[in-house]
Amino acid sequence: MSRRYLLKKVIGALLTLSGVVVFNFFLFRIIDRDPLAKYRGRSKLTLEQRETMIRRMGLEGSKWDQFVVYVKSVFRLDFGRSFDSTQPVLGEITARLPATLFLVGVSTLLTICIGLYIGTKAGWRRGSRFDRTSTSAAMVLYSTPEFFFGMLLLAFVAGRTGWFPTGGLRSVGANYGFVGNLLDRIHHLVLPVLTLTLGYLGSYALIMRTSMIETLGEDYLVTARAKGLRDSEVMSRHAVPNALLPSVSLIAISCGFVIGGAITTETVFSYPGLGLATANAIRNNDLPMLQALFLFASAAVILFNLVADFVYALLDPRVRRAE
Amino acid sequence: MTTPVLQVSDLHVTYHAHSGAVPAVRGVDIEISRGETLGLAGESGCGKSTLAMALLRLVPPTTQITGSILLAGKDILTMKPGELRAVRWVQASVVFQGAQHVLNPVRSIGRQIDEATETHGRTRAGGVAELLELVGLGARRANDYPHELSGGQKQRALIAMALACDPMLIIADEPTTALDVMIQAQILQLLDEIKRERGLSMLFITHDLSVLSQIADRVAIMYAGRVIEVGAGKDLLRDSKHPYSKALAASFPIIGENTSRRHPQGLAGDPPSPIDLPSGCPFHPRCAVAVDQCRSIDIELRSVGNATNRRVACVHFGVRDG
Repeated sequence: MSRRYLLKKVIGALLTLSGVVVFNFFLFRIIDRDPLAKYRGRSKLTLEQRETMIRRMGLEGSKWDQFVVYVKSVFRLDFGRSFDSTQPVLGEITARLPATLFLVGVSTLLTICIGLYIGTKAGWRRGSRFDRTSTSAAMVLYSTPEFFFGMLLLAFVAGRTGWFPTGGLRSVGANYGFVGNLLDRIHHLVLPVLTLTLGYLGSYALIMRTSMIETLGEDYLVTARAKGLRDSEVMSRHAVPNALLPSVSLIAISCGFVIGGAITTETVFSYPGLGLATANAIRNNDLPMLQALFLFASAAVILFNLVADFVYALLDPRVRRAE
Repeated sequence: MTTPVLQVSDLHVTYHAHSGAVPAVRGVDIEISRGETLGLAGESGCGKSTLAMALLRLVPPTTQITGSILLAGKDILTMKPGELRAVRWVQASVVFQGAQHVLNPVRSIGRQIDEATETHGRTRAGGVAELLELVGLGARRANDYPHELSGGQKQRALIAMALACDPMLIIADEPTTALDVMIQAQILQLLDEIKRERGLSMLFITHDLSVLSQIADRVAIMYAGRVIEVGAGKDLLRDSKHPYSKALAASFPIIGENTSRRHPQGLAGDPPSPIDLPSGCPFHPRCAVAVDQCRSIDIELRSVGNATNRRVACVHFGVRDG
């Protein structure tokens, strides 16, 4: 892979990220909310206390001074303390990160595998019964918001049958030993993972189907057939590697949005990850927490795009070996 | 007489489009013997590429093919899928037009050539390197991807690929069409050399008659899905009988022949649409010497008395009854 290509993409990603950092500062400065509103009702702050708090939040001085303080603290990964828990924001986020990574990671993997498989098969056998059935199903999945699936699953699967827990990360207060606890966690993950997978499956299948159909018209498939290759070889060696190319960048974009999708899914299942933390922070007016979560979500989108650029280069020699 | 390498009889190829049946090839008989090159020429849309693709059943699956295609005596049209795959590339391979997207952009040249031998369980002692050297590309090119080759180099790679399984027949589908004249001459020379060295037979398809004078032993001219004239190469090109062949020959300057220092002449009108063919001889609306008979009778290929092996489908020529 050309080093220049890598460098260009990494620099691009860093520039975007710094843009987000700047934007994030102003976004929270134009929100018309008093950051100290939370304290107003309960107890009267003395002027001294108020000033201490303002200083601690980096809200003193001109907007420029505040900006400098903010940028410096972002570089130190210091996002202040949560209004809600009064703990450092960074610690709050890293504590919830594994739960979300696990949920989003597993469902994204499932979505990619199943979605691309369905799309490939439907596109290759365009007009077949499989194509018609799967495309209609994909359209329905694609146009339904994921939290709606979550609510259906909650009501009909968890509620009616009781086969799965209705929420949470694990059974509270129970200890089944290492393997038992692991199984307990997986048991809790099934419905949230199913929700996210169903929610994003449709778009992957539709994207892959379209790009497969476009590839089917290519002359090199006739060449492959003329060489005496089996249909399945023509598909797996020649059609799929080319059809994957347009899907990669689209997948990267939707991967980024899965973090956002986790907000609703985690809320529905009271799954204590970053999504639920975001929803709570919005509800509680927890500005430092929100600011950090926004930054984090944007960084995820940027990261996925960077990964897509690398995958793209791996798959396409025209990108990899460009001068 | 030994069996010809390729014997096509009464071949009809009909596409089934949404708008209805499209008869692209309508009753073609051709024959190629060992070591012979048959040039097949005609305007775009005359059915020559459809014919070429039908020979290995590479047309879309909904296409109807009737007649018979005997490749070394065995009929391609009655083969089961497995038998057909075994014949493809081993008995007959195709040199596609390199300018089109006929090479997979994400696989290296070497792997795409290798794939052919691998599929048929054949190993070449010299491997891909030998093939690439043979076509003048250099073994190092095996690791290159299609986008890293020029048009001429791609065409050479395609020739190397076509030779991978040592076929007896090569179907060359406009292999020089998108190349500049210098490269075109090199590619033609390469094909001709390889063909002679290996005793290959070739079906060479082009719309460029001047190319055929260099490479073809015999020439067949197609119009509206039929062969309308066939005969020995130089003889036919110099002295065409069918009014359409004449017009086609007149539209090309024959380079290197002083006698042909004349302006190329165009042929007015367009070839007919295969879904709306004129009655009688399909060429009569564009023909300068058409008579009443042409509007009603679509004449078969008939031998012309004097010339050797020349057959023409025109009322003005051929052995008349009685």
